[in-house]
Amino acid sequence: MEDRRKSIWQRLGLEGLAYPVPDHANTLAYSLGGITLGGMIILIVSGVLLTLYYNPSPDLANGSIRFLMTSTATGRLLRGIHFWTAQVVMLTLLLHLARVFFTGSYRAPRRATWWVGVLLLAIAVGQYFTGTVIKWDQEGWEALGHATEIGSEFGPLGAPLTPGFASNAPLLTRVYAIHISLIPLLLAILIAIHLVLIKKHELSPRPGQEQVPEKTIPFTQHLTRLFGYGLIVLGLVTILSILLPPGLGPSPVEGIELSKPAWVFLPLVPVEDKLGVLGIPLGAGLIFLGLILTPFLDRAPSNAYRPRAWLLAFGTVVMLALIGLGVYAIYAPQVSHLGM
Amino acid sequence: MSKMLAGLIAVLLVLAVSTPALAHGAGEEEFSKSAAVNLRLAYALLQVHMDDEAMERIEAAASAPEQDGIDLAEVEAARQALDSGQTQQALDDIRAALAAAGLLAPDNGQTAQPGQVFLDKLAVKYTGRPWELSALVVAVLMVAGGLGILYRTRVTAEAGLKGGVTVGR
Repeated sequence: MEDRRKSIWQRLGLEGLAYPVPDHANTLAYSLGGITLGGMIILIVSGVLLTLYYNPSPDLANGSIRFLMTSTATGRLLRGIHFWTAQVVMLTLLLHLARVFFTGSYRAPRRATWWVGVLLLAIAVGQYFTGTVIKWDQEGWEALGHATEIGSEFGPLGAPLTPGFASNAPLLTRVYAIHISLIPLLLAILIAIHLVLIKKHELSPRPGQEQVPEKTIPFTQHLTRLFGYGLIVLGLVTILSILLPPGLGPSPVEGIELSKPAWVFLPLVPVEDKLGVLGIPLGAGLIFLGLILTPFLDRAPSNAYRPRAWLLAFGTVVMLALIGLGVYAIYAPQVSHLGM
Repeated sequence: MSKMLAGLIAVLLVLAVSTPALAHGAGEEEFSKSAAVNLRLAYALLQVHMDDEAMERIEAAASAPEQDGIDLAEVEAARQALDSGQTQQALDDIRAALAAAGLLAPDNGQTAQPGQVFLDKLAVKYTGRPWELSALVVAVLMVAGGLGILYRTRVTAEAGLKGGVTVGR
């Protein structure tokens, strides 16, 4: 049996996957990126199945999701798995970002890996946003209303986000096309580059352990562990989908703003309350600018915590401020932002 | 680099605080010409207890130039119900007014036609049906299987790492 397994592995060239990686690759903190990738695979599979039932016409989109949830055998479960996995992926993605920041893994020679990761985060947020829109309830319409208004402020650059860009195709249909084709394609390409860069530069050492010898494990063992994490995620999102299935709001109606955005966007709500819809690109732009510049701001001689204390303190303050803004947004009174 | 960053942040902050006109949308109240749109707005406003704004929308619906098929008697009934504080009755009357024009999708969500709308949230919950219980069991087994794999890989790693030693980077 063992010989047969080895023979199959040899013929498929999978033996090459057994290259050595540091022992700490198997810790939860250093597995967050892999868990995120596993979640994305669940999203692709469940998303492909959901496309079989979804109608991206503004008149019928909301109804098609209701049909899926009420008249098909597994539609409610399927949508629940897609919804909850999206929440898990965003959470693990942000935790992965925090881990890389705090352990100094963005430092040379891994700067390009960090920048590709930041780009991946931006695109993943875009994917989450388009997913919010295409459920086409009041929250979805208001989210699209924000994108349209921001897009109209950016001239030709924002034109694809406005209805006038292609008057023969509804904006919702275009957003759906972006959600299922353009963004997944970009994600796949960037993830491939991210993985190649990780392989080339190896997993970053633990803080302050750059010159310390460490035992290694075969990468295949790390993959096995990631499979275990993936099973746990799939099991948990399935449990959540059954016990707390996501509902669906009424058909959207223009001319009113009643909802608050999904949790990922909540920290930007107080900024928008203060500055209007342009506060969203301004706030998000500052966050991403800070992330892009992080490797340049870190001049410490090593990745140990102490030499990077000021940067870690600054990052912690920013992170706590964003969490605080998000919590404030939950309880703050509803403010209308769209010029309807 | 840090000076450049500080300069850029300063420019962005100045830009942000010097554009009060960007804040909070237009602010001017404009009512739709469509009675149906006004009624849907009224319905949404009533659900978040914005009764005064809902009343404005119901009155706008009653005098809207586009009233195709809307039952105006039900619109008036909704106005009177809201005026006397009967929110639920007002909601029912709005539904009836829209249903008369064929704009309301059936409750079961199976036969909606273009132009028909759903006014209420579709709330779903755990009902304990056999398929739900079966799926729960499978999900728990997946979690248990995942935990088992994590335990096994940890034991394997602790039993003896064969990959050699990595020195520095």
